[in-house]
Amino acid sequence: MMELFFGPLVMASTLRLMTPVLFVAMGGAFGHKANVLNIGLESFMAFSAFFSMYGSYLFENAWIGLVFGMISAALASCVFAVFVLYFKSNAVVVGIALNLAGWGATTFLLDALLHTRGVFIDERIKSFSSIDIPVIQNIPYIGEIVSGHNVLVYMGILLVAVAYIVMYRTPFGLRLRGVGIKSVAAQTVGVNSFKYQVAAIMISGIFSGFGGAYLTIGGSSMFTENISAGKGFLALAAIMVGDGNPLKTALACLAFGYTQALSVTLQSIGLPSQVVISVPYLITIVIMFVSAVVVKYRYRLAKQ
Amino acid sequence: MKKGRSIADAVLNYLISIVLAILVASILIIIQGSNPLEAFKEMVLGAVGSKSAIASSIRWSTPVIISATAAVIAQKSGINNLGIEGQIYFGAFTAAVVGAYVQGPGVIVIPLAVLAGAFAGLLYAVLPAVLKLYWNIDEMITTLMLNYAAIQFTEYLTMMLMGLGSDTNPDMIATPEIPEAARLTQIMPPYQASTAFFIGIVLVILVFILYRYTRIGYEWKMIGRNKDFARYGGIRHFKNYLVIFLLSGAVAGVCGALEILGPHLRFRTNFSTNMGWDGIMVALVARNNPIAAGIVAIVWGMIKAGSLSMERMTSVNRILVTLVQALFVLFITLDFKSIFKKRSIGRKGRNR
Repeated sequence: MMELFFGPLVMASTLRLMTPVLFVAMGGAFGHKANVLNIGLESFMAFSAFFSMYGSYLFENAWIGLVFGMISAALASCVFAVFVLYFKSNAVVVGIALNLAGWGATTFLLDALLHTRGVFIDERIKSFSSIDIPVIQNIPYIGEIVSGHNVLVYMGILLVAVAYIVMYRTPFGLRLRGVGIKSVAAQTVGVNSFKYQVAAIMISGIFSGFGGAYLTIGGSSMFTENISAGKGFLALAAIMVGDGNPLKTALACLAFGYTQALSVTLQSIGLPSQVVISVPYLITIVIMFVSAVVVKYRYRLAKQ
Repeated sequence: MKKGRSIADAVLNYLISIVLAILVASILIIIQGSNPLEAFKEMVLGAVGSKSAIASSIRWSTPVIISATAAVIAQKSGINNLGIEGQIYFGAFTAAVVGAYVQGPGVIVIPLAVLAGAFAGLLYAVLPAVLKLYWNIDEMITTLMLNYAAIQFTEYLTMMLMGLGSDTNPDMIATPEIPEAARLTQIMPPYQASTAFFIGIVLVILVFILYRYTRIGYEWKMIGRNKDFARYGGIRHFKNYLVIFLLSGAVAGVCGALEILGPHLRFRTNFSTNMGWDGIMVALVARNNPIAAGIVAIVWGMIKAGSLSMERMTSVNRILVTLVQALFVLFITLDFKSIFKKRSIGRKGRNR
């Protein structure tokens, strides 16, 4: 039983399944803290997934693919920023339209550039290869979990620390959070809230680029239509659960990855896969509920 | 005078957006190596060029009209119900079950199935509405999350109902086909267009009358314009908010129910062609005006029908149309007049 729930296989695949959502969530956390509601994360991921694959296909190099993906996701985030922050369009509308555009554009490009529909597999698409970490790989249990992933998985874990430090230990992060809490107040002390919000959205785009790249060149070396399939919303859920704090958000991603990794195990003990897939979405609602109740309770206490 | 000008501005916005969208579409078609004029010709022919084209347009407008109405009801009062897709799933599943298992003449079974679908959609809106009202939890996030759960949940219910094992091929997960008696009448046999289209039109008119001529409609509009003002004016926020949210969910449920009783005849989890999101976008494009939403929805359906025929007749992928629709919605959010103004002020030299 322990083997089924905490075995090295389950834990290792938790890390792998967590990675794409983690990248998007870390990026999106900056947007959340700058008080820009971004439901377009899904589209950033879709664009990056396609262009990472395409770059890797053209140059037969995963790193060039990653650069392609990052640039495409960054451009998509620029579109979001221009519409929402510069032209003051409704963020929800722009998010919905971008998500649809991301699905439409990638499917169209798959047909137009690669003359394929549905699934594209080609040996020219190169994925990042897995890395065996010298000393650690020989430690029993831990070595099996931690070693043998590709570079993106490690970058994702590193990113959590970097995001936390940037957000809570640098002037940039302080001002960004200030802009998010009260934009006018930040303006009065000389912080250009427009610039900070644009920066936050761009950060979301770039990191979502890593997440999208992981879907296509993080091992699978293929692209399928609608490949992001709600992972951007899962990242949004993680951000909501963690309230944009990188550590808490990462924990939520870890939990989501774990439930996904467990799905085979859970199915074997009789839990249907549909329930397992729904768990992250439902948990998000439960956690939002609990935190709202706590806030209300504290508020009542403070009033007494 | 002022109203006339604002209508002119709106028309200008639509025209610029349409031109931009067509421009982008043409460029993409050229990139793909096809002739845009030919593609557009096939689209128009596929939407209105023949009896089957018109039937196809009607068939694809129907769900958009109804889901757009659901979106208008919510958005007019400032409620972000992004869960229409999920509510459609529940409405569709419930109607499929009622339609397949309740024996009887169509005049009884069809209304029963539609009402059951409406009730299912309504139930699926209860949780986000209550969470918002009691604990101020953003309905946008909760409805978004519930969409994904709805697809899984209805699939699970279908498997339970049919006694299928978890290793079933996903394409085989479906409810039984509903009998002849419980199907909606086709208005142009043998094509799929059904009387659901008229139900959609009636709904649009009812919602229009509601907002134009009734006190409740006025109160609901006020909640959307200024919540606090409405409250001071004696409009009971709690009750109204709940009713609006649930009504939006119920209409979405009707959309799903009619989609099953008309063209699909059985519930499958891949039955929805993004119709919930289409409805939300149509409502946004129509600025939450029910009649305008009905018209835009019909255009949306025609575009869909046209794109299907374009794909058959040319080498252009129909997904292009989805992309262009998305871009159109993006352009519509801009206020082109003020953008031009901004730039001309900028040229004269702004002080910032």
